[in-house]
Amino acid sequence: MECKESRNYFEFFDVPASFNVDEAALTLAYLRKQQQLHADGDVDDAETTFLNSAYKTLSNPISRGEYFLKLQGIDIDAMPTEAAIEMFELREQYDALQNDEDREHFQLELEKKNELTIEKLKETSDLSEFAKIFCVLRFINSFLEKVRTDVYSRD
Amino acid sequence: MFTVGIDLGTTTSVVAYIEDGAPKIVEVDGGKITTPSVVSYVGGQPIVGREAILNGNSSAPLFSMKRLMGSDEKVAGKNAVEVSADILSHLKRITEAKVGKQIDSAIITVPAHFSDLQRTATKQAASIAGIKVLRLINEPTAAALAFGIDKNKNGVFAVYDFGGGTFDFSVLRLVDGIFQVLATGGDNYLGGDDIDNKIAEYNFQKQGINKKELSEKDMIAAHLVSKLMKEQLGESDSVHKKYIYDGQEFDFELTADLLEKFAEELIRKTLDISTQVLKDAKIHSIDGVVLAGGMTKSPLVKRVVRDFFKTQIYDDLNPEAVVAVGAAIQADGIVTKNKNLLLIDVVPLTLGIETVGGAVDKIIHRNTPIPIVEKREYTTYQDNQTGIKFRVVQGERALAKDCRSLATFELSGIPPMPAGMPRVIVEFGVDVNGLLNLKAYEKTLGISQTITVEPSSGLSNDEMISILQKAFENAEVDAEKSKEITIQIECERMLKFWDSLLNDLPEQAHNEAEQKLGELSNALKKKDFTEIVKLKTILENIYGQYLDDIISARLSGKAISDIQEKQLCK
Repeated sequence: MECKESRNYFEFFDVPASFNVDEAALTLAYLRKQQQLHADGDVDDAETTFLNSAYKTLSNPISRGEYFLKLQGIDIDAMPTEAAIEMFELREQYDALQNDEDREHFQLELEKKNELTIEKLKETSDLSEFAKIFCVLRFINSFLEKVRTDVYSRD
Repeated sequence: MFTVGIDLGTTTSVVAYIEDGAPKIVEVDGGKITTPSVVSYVGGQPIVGREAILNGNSSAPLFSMKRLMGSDEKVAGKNAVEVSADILSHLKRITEAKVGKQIDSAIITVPAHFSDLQRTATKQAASIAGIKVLRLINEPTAAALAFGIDKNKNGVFAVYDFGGGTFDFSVLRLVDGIFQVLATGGDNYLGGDDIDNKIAEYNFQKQGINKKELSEKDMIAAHLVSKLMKEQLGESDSVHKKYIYDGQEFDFELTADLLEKFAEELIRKTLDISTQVLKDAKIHSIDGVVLAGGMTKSPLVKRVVRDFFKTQIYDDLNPEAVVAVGAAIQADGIVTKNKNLLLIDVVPLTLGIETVGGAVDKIIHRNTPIPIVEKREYTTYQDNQTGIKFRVVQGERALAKDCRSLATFELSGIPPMPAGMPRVIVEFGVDVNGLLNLKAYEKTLGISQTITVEPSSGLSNDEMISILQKAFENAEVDAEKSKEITIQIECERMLKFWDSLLNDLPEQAHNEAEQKLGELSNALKKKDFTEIVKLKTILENIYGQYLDDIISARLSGKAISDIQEKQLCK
C-alpha cells in the first residue's frame, strides 16, 4: 500500500509534472488505464481506487496544486499581505449581502475570479511566485465552496 | 450462469436478461413488460402486481413503498424492505418460470442519488428474496448503457430519467465502450405519482367529493383513474373517465391545459436539477439526451425537454424498459468478463463528518469516481480525552442537521494524552456499489475500529437473520432442482389457481381455458415439457387479457358482469 501511494501521479499518467496539465490528455490517459485494468481480468479494487485517487488529485486544480508543490518540496506560506486584504474585503462584501439574487451574482463573479487565478497560475513558472498565487487560489476556492453551499442550501 | 437485470421501480418493475447477445425482457401477465410494484396481503401471504390491485379479499394494496426505502416507517405493519423483498421474490419466481432457469445473480438498479441507507436497504430486500446481488447500479447509468450499446455512439450524453417516484439526471462520456459518469443529481421525491395526486385532488374538488370520507381503496382507484387519464392524454386534448364511489358515478376529466398546469412545477424542478448537474459536469455542450422512466412517455415532457436542451432527444428505446435492459447488459458483461464494456460511476452525494459546532467537514465530494478511499486526521480537544465520537452525514448542505445522518461511531480506548496529541485517522471508502465503508484508527498507537454502516432505522442483523430463515423455510423450490421441476411446480400451482378462477371468466375464455387446462394436466402427466411451456403461455395470455378487461372495467366504472355480457353478445 505504502509503495503504491508513493508512485508519482504525473509519471503514472505519463503527463508532464506541471500545474498546467493538459486536461484532455489526462482524462484520456485515465480512461486508457481504466480500460487496461479492466482488461487484465479480475479487477483489483485497490488498484482502481489508486487510479481514481490519482485522477481526482490531478483533475482538480486545488489538489493538483497542493500535490505539485509537495513534489517540489515547497511549503505553502501565508498569503501576501496585499492579497490577504483584498480577500478580507471580499468576505466582508459577501457577508453584507441581503438576498439570494445578490449572492448568486456574487458567486458568478467569484467563479470568474477563480478561473482567472487558475489561468494565471498556469502561466507562472517561478516557483515562489507560484506558491504565493496558489495561496490566493486556495482561499478563493474554500470561500467559493462556502458561497456555493449557501446558494445551494437556500430554499 | 443465468444473470438478470432488475429495475425495481417506485411504480413498476421490469426484469431483463441477455440471450444470444440480445437483450430480452421478461413478459408478465400476457405480454406486458412491467409488473406494478404493488403488494397486497391475504392472510399474511403477499400478492404482487396487477393481481394485488384487483384482489378483493386482500388488504389494501401497498403502493410506492420504494419512497420509504431506508426509513423505518411502516404502512399496514410492513416496511419498505419487506415489501420490496416480496416484489423481488415474485419477479424471481416469474422470471425463473418464464425462462426455465434458476437466477444465479442479478444487478438491481437504484436511483442515482439514493443514499447509502437506501442502497443497503435495497440489498437487504434482495437477500431476503434469495437473490444474489452482483452489483447495484444507478438507474440513469443503466439507461445510458442500453442506449450506448444500442446506438454505438461516442460523445457526451445526458440521461433524463423521470419515473413514477424519482427523478435522476446524469451526464456521461461515452468513449469506445467506456461509460464514464461525469456528474449526477436528482430528487427522490419527484415523480409522476405527484401529478396523479394533483389530478385526483382537482377532480375531488370539482365533484365536491370529500377526500376525508374516502376509504384507502377508493383513494387508490381515484389515483389509478388519474394515472390512466394522464397516459391517455397524449392522443387527444381531453380525457374523461368514470369514477365510482359510494354507488355514485362521477365524471373525472383531464385536459391538456390542466396537465400542463399540474406538471409545470415538477418539470421546472427537473430542469433546475439538470442545469446544476450540467454545471457540475463542467462541460459546455451535450450530444444528446436519452429519455428514461415512464413520465418521459408524456408528449408534454418530451416537448419541454427538447426545447430546453436544444439537442437531439433519444426516445426510441422503450423508456420503461431501458433501465432493466442496461442492468442486464452490465450483468452479462460482468459474468462473461466482457473486456470491451467498462462503467465508471460516481459518488452521488457528498459524504462528510459533523464537526464541533454542527458544520460538515466534506470528505468525499459528490461526483468523485468510485471505488475511492479518502482519509482525514482528527484529534482530541480536551486533555486526557479517551474517545472521539463521529457522526457521518450525507448531503450538500452546510450544516449537519440539514444532511442525512448515516451513522454515529466512537473510537475509544485512546490513552490519556494532552489535547491535540492523538492522531485519529478516519478512512472513508465507497465501493463499486456506492456503499460506504468506514474505518477509524489512532495512528501512533494503532487502536482501530471498523464500522459497517447499516440503516440505523432499517432492519437489525437479528431481524435480517430471522427473515432469511423464514424465507428459506418457505422456499418451495430447492435451488438444486432442475428446470423441469421448476416448470412442473409452477404448472401445478397454476392448475390450482385456475380452478378457482375458471368460474369468473367470461364464457368464451372459460371454454378455451378449460380445454387448455385439460391438455396441460395431460402434458404434465406425460412430462412433455415443450407442450407444457406452450400451453402455459397460452393460459397466461388468456389470464392477461382477463386482467386487462377487469382493470379497464374498474377504471371506467363498469361492473365486471357488464363486460361478460358484452363478450357473450359477440
